[in-house]
Parts: sequence; structure tokens; C-alpha cells
Amino acid sequence: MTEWVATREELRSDFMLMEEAHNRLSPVSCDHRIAFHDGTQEAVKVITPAPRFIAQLMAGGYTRNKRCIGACEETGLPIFEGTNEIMPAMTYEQAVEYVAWKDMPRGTNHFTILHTDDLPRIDGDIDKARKFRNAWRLEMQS
Amino acid sequence: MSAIRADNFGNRAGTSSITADAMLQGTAKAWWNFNSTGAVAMRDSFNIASLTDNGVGAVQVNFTAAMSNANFRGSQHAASNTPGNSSGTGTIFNQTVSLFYQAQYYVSNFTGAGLTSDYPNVVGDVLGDPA
Repeated sequence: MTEWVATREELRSDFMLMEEAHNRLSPVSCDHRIAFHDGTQEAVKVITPAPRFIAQLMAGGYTRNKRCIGACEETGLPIFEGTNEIMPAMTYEQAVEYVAWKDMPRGTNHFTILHTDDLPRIDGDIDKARKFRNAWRLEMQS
Repeated sequence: MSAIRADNFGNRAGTSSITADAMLQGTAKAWWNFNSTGAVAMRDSFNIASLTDNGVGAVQVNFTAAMSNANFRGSQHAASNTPGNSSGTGTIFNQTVSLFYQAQYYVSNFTGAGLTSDYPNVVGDVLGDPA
């Protein structure tokens, strides 16, 4: 996978694509969450995909295949990795998987994608379970 | 997409104007409105790909389009659903910007007692330079 330092033109193009998608597309509700261990602590973290980004991914034509992995020491500009190609339309499931790749810390492979109905609860309460997330157990994603 | 190119914008009378740079720098490059209780859920947003729930009172906002550097500015407010509830409304915010992942923005919500807490209404925005 290629790594490169972003250019201002590239960042401007990314922002304009996002703006266009925001103006043209209706949000797509997302009932799935991505739970993962990031390796720095045992507590589980949970990613909630944004409905507008799911819509942008499912429509295709608005998102380049890349993620930010750091900053250039000399310029301060982001460092990306990926193919940088504009991705075609994808399914809901593929969109959620892309969010997992893009927004989980690099190298994270201990994660699972689950429906909100399956979020851990204590006495039926998600908030209680969130306060005791060290007790969560994740099964490895194959 | 067509574009209007100008250096200055003003009213018809010519008594008030603003430069294009000031206008561009002064508009939000990202904003969000979400519920950080229960199954954290985004109500609406601009330039936000996802939220990472890092723990009680600590939510990380992940941008769709990255900013051009880590020196952007953000604000955040969190409130309960009860008008006049001083324990939930008027909550101060705290932010730490990751120097490494420029597409991420960390926020924490604190109660007046200094305890972290989640809120049903969390809103915020970012000003800065996307390119």
C-alpha cells in the first residue's frame, strides 16, 4: 500500500467532493457499530459511522481510497496511505467496513462489527455497560 | 461545479465588506450534533466520517476530509434534555488535538464537579484550513 504526503490541491479536492456529497445526498441511517481494542489499553472503543459518510460511500464517486496515518514533520501536512482512487458505489456492509479501516488506529486487527441491538447491556441499559467496558469481550474478526 | 472568484464581498451601499480569506477562514469546516448516551448516534454533521467512543465523556470526531494541519480550532458544548438543569447544561468542554492523526479531533465533556459524563446533546464545530 502506497504512502504519500498530501498536497494542498489534493486536500482541497477532497473537501470539495465532501461538500458536493453533503449537498446532493440524503443521510443513510447506520445501525451498526465497530468495537475494537487499540492495543494501548484494554478498554473497548466503539466507532459510530456518520449517516452522511455512509451515504457518500454508498453513492460512489465522492471518496478517495485512503486514510490519514500521520503528519509530515517538515510541512505539517497529513500523510496518507491507500490507492487514492475515487471509489465506486459500494454496499452498506462495504461502507461500514471502509469506516473501520479508515478510522480505527493503524494496525488494529482486534475488532468486531455489531448491530446496535447487540451492544452489551447491564440490566438492559447500554450506558451501564459502557461504564464497565473492561468487562467486554471481543471475538476476533476473521 | 462552477465557482465565483473574488477577493472581497460587500453590501450594496459599500459601507461594509469582508475579504474572501476572512470569510473562508471564518466558516466551519466541520460540525456535529450527536447523542453520546446509550448507542451513541449522530443526528447530523458536516465533514464527519465517524465518532469514536473512547470512554465515558470522551468522544473523538473523525473527519471525512482531513485538515491541512493540526492547528485548527474547535468548540464543543454538551447539555442534558432538561431546561435549567444546572448539572447538565452549561457544561464546559475540553479539547486536545492529536498531533499525529490530523483527521481526528478529541473532545471531553466535564460536569461542573470535574467528572466526565455523557450527554444526549453534544454539538460542536471546527474552524481551520482544509487546504
